[in-house]
Amino acid sequence: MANQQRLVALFPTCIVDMIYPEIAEATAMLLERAGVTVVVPPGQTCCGQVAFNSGEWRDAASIARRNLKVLCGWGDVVMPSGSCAAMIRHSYAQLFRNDPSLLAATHELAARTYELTEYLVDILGVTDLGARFNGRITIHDACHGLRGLGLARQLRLLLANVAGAQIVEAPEHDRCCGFGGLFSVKQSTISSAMVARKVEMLCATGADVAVTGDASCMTQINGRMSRLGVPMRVLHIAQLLAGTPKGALQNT
Amino acid sequence: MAAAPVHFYERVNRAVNDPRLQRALDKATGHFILMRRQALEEMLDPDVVRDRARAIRAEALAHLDEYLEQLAANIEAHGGHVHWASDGASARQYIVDLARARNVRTIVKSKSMASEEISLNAALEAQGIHVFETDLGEYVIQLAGETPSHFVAPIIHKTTDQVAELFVQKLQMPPTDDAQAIAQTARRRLRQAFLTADMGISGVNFGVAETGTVVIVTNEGNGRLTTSTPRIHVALMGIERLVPTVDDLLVMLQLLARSATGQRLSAYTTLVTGPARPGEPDGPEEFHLVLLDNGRSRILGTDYAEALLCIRCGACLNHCPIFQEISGHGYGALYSGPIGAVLTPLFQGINEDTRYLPQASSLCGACKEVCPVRIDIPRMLLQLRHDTVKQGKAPAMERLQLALWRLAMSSPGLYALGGKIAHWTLSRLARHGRVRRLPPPLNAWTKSRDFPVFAPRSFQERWAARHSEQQKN
Amino acid sequence: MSGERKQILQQLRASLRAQGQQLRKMAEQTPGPNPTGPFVAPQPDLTAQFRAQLTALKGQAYLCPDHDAALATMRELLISHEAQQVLAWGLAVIPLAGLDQLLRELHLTLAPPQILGTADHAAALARLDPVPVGISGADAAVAESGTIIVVSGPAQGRLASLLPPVHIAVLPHERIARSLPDAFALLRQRYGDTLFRDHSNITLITGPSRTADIGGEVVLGMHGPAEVHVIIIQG
Repeated sequence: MANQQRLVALFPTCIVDMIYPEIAEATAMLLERAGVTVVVPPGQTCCGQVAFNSGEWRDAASIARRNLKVLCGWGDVVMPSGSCAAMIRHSYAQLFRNDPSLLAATHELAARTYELTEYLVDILGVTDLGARFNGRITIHDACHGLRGLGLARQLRLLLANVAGAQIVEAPEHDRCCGFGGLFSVKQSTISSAMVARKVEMLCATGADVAVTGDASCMTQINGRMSRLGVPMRVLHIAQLLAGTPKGALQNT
Repeated sequence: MAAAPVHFYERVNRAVNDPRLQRALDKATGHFILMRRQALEEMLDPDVVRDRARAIRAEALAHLDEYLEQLAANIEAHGGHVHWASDGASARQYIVDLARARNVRTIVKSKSMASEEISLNAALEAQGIHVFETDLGEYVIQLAGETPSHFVAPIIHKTTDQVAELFVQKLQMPPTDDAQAIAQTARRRLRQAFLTADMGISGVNFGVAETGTVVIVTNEGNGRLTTSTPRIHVALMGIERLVPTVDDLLVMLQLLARSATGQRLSAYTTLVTGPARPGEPDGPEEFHLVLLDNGRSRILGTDYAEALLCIRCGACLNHCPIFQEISGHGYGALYSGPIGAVLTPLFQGINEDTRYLPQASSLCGACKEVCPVRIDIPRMLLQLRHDTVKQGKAPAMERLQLALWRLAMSSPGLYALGGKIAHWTLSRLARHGRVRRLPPPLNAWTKSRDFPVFAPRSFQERWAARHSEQQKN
Repeated sequence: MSGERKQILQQLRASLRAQGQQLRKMAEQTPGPNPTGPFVAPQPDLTAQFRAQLTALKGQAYLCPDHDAALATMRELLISHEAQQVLAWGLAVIPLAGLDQLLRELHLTLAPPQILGTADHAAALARLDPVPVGISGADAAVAESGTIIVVSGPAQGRLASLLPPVHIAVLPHERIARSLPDAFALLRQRYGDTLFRDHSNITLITGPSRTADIGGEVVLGMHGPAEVHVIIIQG
């Protein structure tokens, strides 16, 4: 199927939708640059991982059921978040494992759900989006995308084609930033210690920015960087590739 | 949102704010992580070996009843005794009765988590029997009256000078910071115990059903001495620690030391098959295997049976970013770290003392990545969180908050309204585009981190405004 | 059958009725046969690989072309450690011809290895405490890990390789196998069915005794020998 004819449904994810709409706009821009047509199914809310991770599986299932309907018939669904993609791809089946009537729909949706970088690189075969960034970039590998979906290579391939950029790997680049959803608040002391360490490792690279695939990690790490007053910030990979809009850094 | 007992938060705070502990943890776990990585990288086919190891352990569990019977029959055929202990009390009673019947006055012990699980030492000491922990780390713990902070390296939380201080105080050692001298002090003291003890109690790393063999793995040699010099050897084994055959054992041995410390093999792996044979000049006259159930047979029948695959290598502890901040002491449970966060509520039930353990995780998945038998710990942590809710053990306030959240996420109208309210509230709280103080319970975030303001219009709102028409394929 | 035994088996069977299928599926995911090695990149020469591994662990390996050279090495080791007493396996089972003559020549006495059956167990052990050197054979060895394997038996006491702070093992080179499974194949060849039936202990010794519990620093000779010397007879 030629990319021009391909319709891709964008699932913004609740954090991006509500806090960082520019990331979803960047995502749409990148997909269009890669030659597909982007559509946004109406009435989207959340993937449900907050409820799922808290053990409230009835609540999570009701949100998941809703998403099965909302995303039904929309073709490939792409989202700027590894954790949300992992939720839909792996955990929805867990929620409905004893519900044969929903399992088929669950597997069907899972089979066409993707995180942004894996969709660009592995499905569309695009690694060069004409991006430019003059400076040094380091990377934080978001856990759920990394270990749940095997993401790491795709992000790096995309960054390698950013004109003017020098990529510097951070020590412990695959170590958890400490967000973990509600963990960041319920176990805030441990979460803070973890993000402090992450910030130290990222800053030690001397890079100008850090890049990651999940806005949740971005919020955690930027939150600490901002409090500390260090010059570095974390950008979402979509923001970096699409060209950093003026306002993006202010919202961190 | 206090879901954990106050003492947990106190321990966490102490740990995170203790620079000596943080340095010791960093050094030790960093070392284990590096060593393990090197050890696995030099293997020709580590994934093949790990897959096979998982299958071997699954096979052992899948027919655990038969393999345990085979193990017991073989041990008895070699002149050993087997006691089947349904719980800790039974195991303790058997060992105490045996010690009394044999006039045991001194016992040497090599490392056994199971013995700590059942509080064996206290029961023996109550009989006036002297019990010496001989693993150096466990000996230090015993002298200090503490609990281990890591089940492979029990004093991972102690620096050299802390150990020296303790030995000066308790053993009248001349002050020194030389690790060699410190170790020699313990060696001399414990050697006397080895040479005069009436009974040796060991743990069991693996039981081998095919031959009636128990396997004890150490680096120090205390596992060998404990099971060679005293007249009686008592081996305490969790019933799940089986492998079917010797060939299976040899596969497991490719992974145990590598995963724990990055060694190809530990200094001593000793295979004990019953008591000394007629004609052998040394070794125990009597061999007793105590098979400890204590909830394992029950767990085998649940969704959590996979947790029983564990071979206690400690890799998950070393790689867990939470463990690295708080150590085993932070968890406040005998079995700590990721596997401990699963096992403890399984053994003790989900209650106010255990329900916080599965919450002490960001679900990063590093544990599953490094487990030699590929135990899916994150799956079980999530399942435990769900069971906590199902059993009505989740804190009421949390349930309410999540119910409200679900309400918002189920209706686009409420969702959008929620976003607007958040934007409105946060813009008023913000200074220079950042929120530095959120109201409780979210103030836990802003103690250490800034929070962003919600956007005035959501992406969906902006997109809808720009595109009056949606295309559906 | 004891009550508890029955109880535990019953509970196990009940649990397996619920989860047995799942566990069997897990086991069938990777059926045997078991991998038998090599597990790391093999060096062409088994002896060289063994020696490299043992040396890296701070053990010592001596390559001796024949028994005479091996005896010379043994002599040097015994003299340098100023041994007057040794705790040894039966000299007939240590695969070094002329060892008994050497010990006599050096006026070394053999500490009495017999502990079991003696009137005073503790006294028998106490007698062995000060012995500085232990001498044993090695029933097999593993090149990949620098491991020697000792099997207990009537003339093969456990304590010779355990109590004294210095352990000297005599290893004919043809007993060196590549991997641990290969080494066990050798043991089975030598001992047959009796390996586990008639021998209460098999110990894999991989270098000197060690601990790293004190501030992460490696200290040798915690409870076992601090020195391991393996005399490899190549001829």
